[in-house]
Parts: sequence; structure tokens; C-alpha cells
Amino acid sequence: MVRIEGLTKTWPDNGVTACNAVDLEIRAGEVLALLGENGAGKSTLMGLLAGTIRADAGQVVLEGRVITPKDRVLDLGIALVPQHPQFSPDLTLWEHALVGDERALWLGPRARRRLIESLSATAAQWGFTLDWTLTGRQAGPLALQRATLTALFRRNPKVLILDEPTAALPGPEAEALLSAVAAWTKKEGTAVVFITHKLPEAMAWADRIAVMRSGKIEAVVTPAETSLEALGALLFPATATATVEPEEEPWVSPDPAAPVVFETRGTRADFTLRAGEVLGLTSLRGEGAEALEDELTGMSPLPEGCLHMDGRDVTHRDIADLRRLGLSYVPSDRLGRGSSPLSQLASNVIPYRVGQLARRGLLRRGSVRAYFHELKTRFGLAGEAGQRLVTLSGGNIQKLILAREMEHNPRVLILAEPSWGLDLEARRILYGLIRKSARQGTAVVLLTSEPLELFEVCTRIGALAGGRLRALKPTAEWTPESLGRVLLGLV
Amino acid sequence: MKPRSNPLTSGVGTLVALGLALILAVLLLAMLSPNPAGALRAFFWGPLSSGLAWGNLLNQGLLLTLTGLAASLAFGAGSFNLGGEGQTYTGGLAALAAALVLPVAWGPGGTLVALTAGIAAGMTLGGLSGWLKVRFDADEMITTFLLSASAVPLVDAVMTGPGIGAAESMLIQSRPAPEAFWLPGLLTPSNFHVGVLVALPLVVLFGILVNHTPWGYRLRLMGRNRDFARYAGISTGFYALVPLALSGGLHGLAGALGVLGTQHALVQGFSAGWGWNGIAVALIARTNPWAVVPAAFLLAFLDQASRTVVLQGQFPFQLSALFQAAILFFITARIVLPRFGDRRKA
Repeated sequence: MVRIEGLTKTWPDNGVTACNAVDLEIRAGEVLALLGENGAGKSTLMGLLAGTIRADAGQVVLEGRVITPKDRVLDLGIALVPQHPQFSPDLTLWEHALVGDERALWLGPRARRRLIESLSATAAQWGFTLDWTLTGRQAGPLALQRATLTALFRRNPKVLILDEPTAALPGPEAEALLSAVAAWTKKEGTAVVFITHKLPEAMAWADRIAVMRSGKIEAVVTPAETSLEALGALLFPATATATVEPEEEPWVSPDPAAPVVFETRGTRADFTLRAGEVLGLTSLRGEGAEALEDELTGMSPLPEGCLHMDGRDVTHRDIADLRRLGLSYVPSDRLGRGSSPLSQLASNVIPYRVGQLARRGLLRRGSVRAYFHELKTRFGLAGEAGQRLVTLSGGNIQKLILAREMEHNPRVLILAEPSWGLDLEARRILYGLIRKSARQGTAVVLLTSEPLELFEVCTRIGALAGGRLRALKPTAEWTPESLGRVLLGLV
Repeated sequence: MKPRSNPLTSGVGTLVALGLALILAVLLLAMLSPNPAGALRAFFWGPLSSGLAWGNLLNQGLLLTLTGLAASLAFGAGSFNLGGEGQTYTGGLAALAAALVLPVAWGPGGTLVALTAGIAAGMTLGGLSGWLKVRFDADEMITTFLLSASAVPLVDAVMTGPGIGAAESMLIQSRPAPEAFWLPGLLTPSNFHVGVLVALPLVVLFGILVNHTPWGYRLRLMGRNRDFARYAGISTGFYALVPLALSGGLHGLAGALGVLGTQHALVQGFSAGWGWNGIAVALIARTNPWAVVPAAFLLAFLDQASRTVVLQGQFPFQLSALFQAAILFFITARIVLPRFGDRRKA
């Protein structure tokens, strides 16, 4: 029904090739599950298919007809329900259902009632009820996704693409949705592609399962000819290679008798961290590791349990206190939180130092610049003190943030997604800095959504699934396969 | 995100904008005035032609320096104080009330107390908005504006009320303040007086505070990226409240100076535009205290020049406002637009 031929997309801002000459066939009457690790290129591929992203090369052929950039892909019958649909906060759900398909400028009260009734009937067909008078602001993400699905379904699509439709759904509702999807394709001869991280779901409801890795389709299998184990191995192969060459200096394992520096108790991810350790924590997207960034760093209150630093309870300390006690933090949002893009480089490295740099209450430009140059030499930073931060590349901005957070040998260093958007060379420098910091006695926590990264630098790895820490073991006791199984909830 | 142009070229840009604005001024005058040559002469020479004109220019320039400094302080910390008008007006009322109550024998000491009362009144209004922001996350743009908008009619009501209103005057104004508390005039009979000179040391003081102290560094960081400031452990509450309070205080001082130095009474609408024009000054000065003085004098000159043209009958009154608006448009478009562009992309 639809053939994807050689679709390729490289993102210009970070040079990542999200899809690399992908070929895939979608057949009439089938439910196709698309599996893949975070960043494997699933959402990009579906965006290319639905025409919301323009391909660098390749084409989509729908029922023998090549789709051109001029086509309105939705009118041709390919509809995409994104995981997080874009909604105007002020329009109601029924108004959103009309977007792109406005038949009248104004709907009278009766026509509106009829519209809402028919929308509700369509929604019921899919096994859910919705209050269509909620505005985008009032409706939760689930309602927004359902409203989008209902609205698109009314456009009589031939191919319906669902991006993680069940990520936020409780089990029975996910089942209801997927069985409705399956019934619809069989009855109408249409096709559904759904992206999921849940292997059992794919096994139960898909006619075929496509596995993506690093921008390529790795395999297309039917549930009958595979198993959960085999799928897990496809997703997280034992042969997965490290992205960076091993470091030159041998990795000294941390002293088991080193003092405990950082500890969480009674939280959803309890751990004890000794000086010199590098603890990696990961999960699939939406499975709990992202939220740890704010909770461990005092940016948002801990929902439960407490946080200890050097034996002191620091659960309710404010951010300034945590900084003083030696908690450094490299945020995932580098430009929004980790730096002031419009300020000079020098201003970006001194926030913890202004007190010491001032003489008799005055902060002299000379001493600020001297400090920047000292840091620049020590860490090999790019740029001049008076340059605005935005003029640096992503990798150099990250290096500057790392330098600022590491220069005073903090007690604890928390890094969130530190390698996002970095090229291999920048990653090598990053991992070197992390190791160096650990060798000097800092306790490091590395939060990442790229599980394989953990094998590079971590002494211990913890895996979260369903929002809680499921396993925490020394790196040597993990394999990429066993980690994948925990992340997928197979253990 | 595109890198910002460097300060030198953007400074040139401001000069270009100013040049364009002046060309527009000349064209407007030439087209709309029955006597173009006379109008042009009145416009460019009028504000500098006599001691009286100089006095008025200096007085207005220094007052705008104060209100511009006030607006800059808040803007620099990322708080938008749109209540300068009401803070100035209330400052004037507080100063007058103090002057009416204090024993005349206090002399210059009483003047100081009255000025302080003006500062305190403005500070209270500005600080209230700051507190609302810290406590309830209320948008200071809205609270400063609304508090100011409700303060103005209240002050109007009080100035004609019992104990303060002037019974026999045709104008809506209060009783005069005792002469003992008046600030000595300069270049009489202009509006100029010694009080407004305080603007200059204040510019130096705040210029150093904002640009060369840890306090100012944190304040500027708040203005540039509040999330980064919070992340770096800077007290976002303190740096939201204090700049707004200081901003209100400086506005209050401007109002108090207007009452004790020029009007010697509270006259309805005496602060016309000082608060709003302070915002224009801050925008032109890009919230840098040092640049506030030239920006304030530029606006003061434009205003005085337009007034001269109107007074000489070369121009209908409304055109003077149009004129200033056109010039401000050029200057602020040059300065404001790139700034908002950045914010969107950031």
C-alpha cells in the first residue's frame, strides 16, 4: 500500500543522520509496530512518511503514486498522531478537531452540538470518551492525543501513524485502543503503524514488527517467528560497540572504602555513592530517569524520601546551599538553564566566584578576565572573555559549562544528558573530564537516555523502568543485552 | 540563534536611527509649517537660545535621567516596571504631605525628610509589585501598571481634599508647600533647581553598582536568564523585589523633586510623562546606567524643541506629540526589535 524508498534525513543543526536510506513496506490491512531505542530515528521516519519533515533523499509511494512535496499528505490519506500533539491553549478540543478542515467560519449552537455528538461517537468507536469542550490548556496530554486521533480518523485515512500511543495509557486502555486499531485495519483494509517501547504490546497486536537502530531498519519480523528474547536482542545487541575508543590511562576502580558522599533514601531511585564513583542512571524515554535531574539537584522538591550529602540531610536545602556544600550540576538544557546565552563568556563562568573575585565590593573587569583565562588554559576552552556565549558551538558551550562545574573539585557532580548533540571528539573530551573528576574524588551521577553511553565511563549502572530503579550493579556485571531487558521491563 | 552584533556596530545603528529621525523631523517641519525656516530654527535653536530655555532643558533632562535610571534598574533585572508614572505622582504627594506637616523651622532638614517621604512612597508601590511577584508569581508588568493607574486618580482626589486642597485656586492643585522647604531655583525663572542635580551622583552610584559589583552581576544575570540565575543559586526572590523597590524609590524621588523644586505644590498632572518617558530612556540606553544621561537629554531636547515650535505658533499642538512619537519610533524600533527577536529565539 505504501512503500518507503531510500528515505534519508540528516538534521542540519547537529549533523545526526536520523534516517539513513530506509526502505520499508506498509501493507493494506496490517498493523505494523515500529520498535527502536531512543534516538534510533523512529519519529523522524514517521514524520517523513506523514510529510511533516522533508526528506533529504528518497520518496514515499502511496498506492503506486509518488508523493511530492507539494501534496497535502493528509488529504492523500496518511495521518500522523504525534506523541505530544501541538495544541492552542485557548481553543477547545472540538475546535481543534476542525483545524485544517474548516467548513464554516461559524458554527451555530445546534451544529456545534451535532459536531460534538459525532466526535464523541467516533471516539467511542476507539474505546474512549472525551469532554470536547475542554480547552487545550485544561486537557491533559492523553486527552490531546485522543482528540487528535479522533479528529484525524474522521478524515478517513488510509494509513494511520501513532507515535507511542500507549506510553501514557494504563494497560486495559492500551489494549482497548490497540484492539480497535487492529479491528479497523482488518475491516477497512487500511494500515496502522505504531511506535512503541513495549515489546509485549508489539507481540500481541502487530502483524509485523520493524526494528530500527541508528537510522536503519534492522529487521522486519512477524510475532510468530520471533520471541520477546529475540526482539530484545535485536534492540540491544550484545555486539553493540562503544562509541569512543578506550581511554589511554587505565581506569582505576574506585576505592571501596571511600567515604559515602551522596545518598538517596526512600525515593524511587535509592543509591549510595562513594567518592570517586561514577554512577550511571538510565531509562527509556518517559520511564523515570529524566525527572531525576530536577529531583537530585534541588531544582524541584523530592516527591518522597530524602537526600544526603556527606552524611547531612540536604532534602530541604535551597539551591545556593547545595552549591556551597559542593553539589555541581550540568543540566540537559544548556542554553535555557545551564548558561546565559546573551551574556559574555566571562559572565557565564563566574556565578559561584563573584564573591571571591570582588575586591572591596568591586568586581573588576581585569580580575574577571584573568579568571576566565585561567579556566580557559586549564580546560582548553574556546573563545574570548568578552564574546557572547551564543557565538560558540554546542560542544564548546558544553565544555565551558563542564569547566565551570568542575573547576573547584566538587563533592558531587550530576550530569544530565551531557553528550547530547556532541560529536565524537567532544564526547571523548567529555568522558575524559568525567573520569578525571572521579579520580580526584568527586562522586559523579550520569543521567542519560543513551544506555550504551554508560558502559564508557560508569563504575556502576542503574536502570529505571516504570518510574523506579529496577537494578543497580557494577558495570562489569551488565551486558548491553541484560541492560536492555531491564529497561524494557522484561525482567 | 544568530550571534548578536557587537556593541560598536549597534551603537552606530542607534546613531543612524537618530539621523533618520532628524531627517524625518526636518521633512515634517518643512511640509507642515507655514514658515519652514522659522520652524526649523525654533526647533534646533529654541531649547538652547536663552537661560530660561537652558534651565528648562536641564531640569527635564535630569528628571528624565532619574526616571530613566529607575526604569533601567528594573529592566536590567528582568522586571518590567510600567508603573513609573504612578510612583512618581505618589512620590510627589508624599513629599508635599510631609512638607505640609513638618514644622517650618526644620528648614533644609525638612526638605530632606520630605524628599525621603517621596522616595519611601515610590518604594512602597514598586516594592508591593515585587512582593506580589515573589509571593504569588503575579506578573510585575501588570501589577506595576495597575497599581500606578489606580494611584493617579487617588492622588488627584487627595490633592483637592481636606487639609491639602487649595480652596481659592482655579487649578486642580494642593496648597503650596511652605517656602522654607523649597529647593533653591537655578536659572530663574526656569523650572531648574538644585534638587535635580542629585540625578548625576545617583547615575554614578548605580552605574558602579550595576556594572562593577557582585550585586550588579547577579542583577544583570537575572535580567539575561532568570532560569540560569536560579540554577546558579542566586536568590531570585531578592533580585525580583529589590530592583522594583529601588526603581519605585527613584521614581518617587523624581516626583518629590518636581513638587519641592518647581511646582511648590501638587498640581494635577505635574509629572506628565516622566514615568513613561523614563521607559523610553531606558530602552534607548539599553538599561545601561551610563547611557541613561545622553538618552534622557536627547528626549528632553526633543520635547523642549517641539514645545518651542508650538509656542511660536508654527505648529498646532497635537503635531508636537506626533513629532516626538515619530522620532521615538525610529529610535526604539532600532533598539527594541532585535532584543525581542533574541528573546523569542532564546
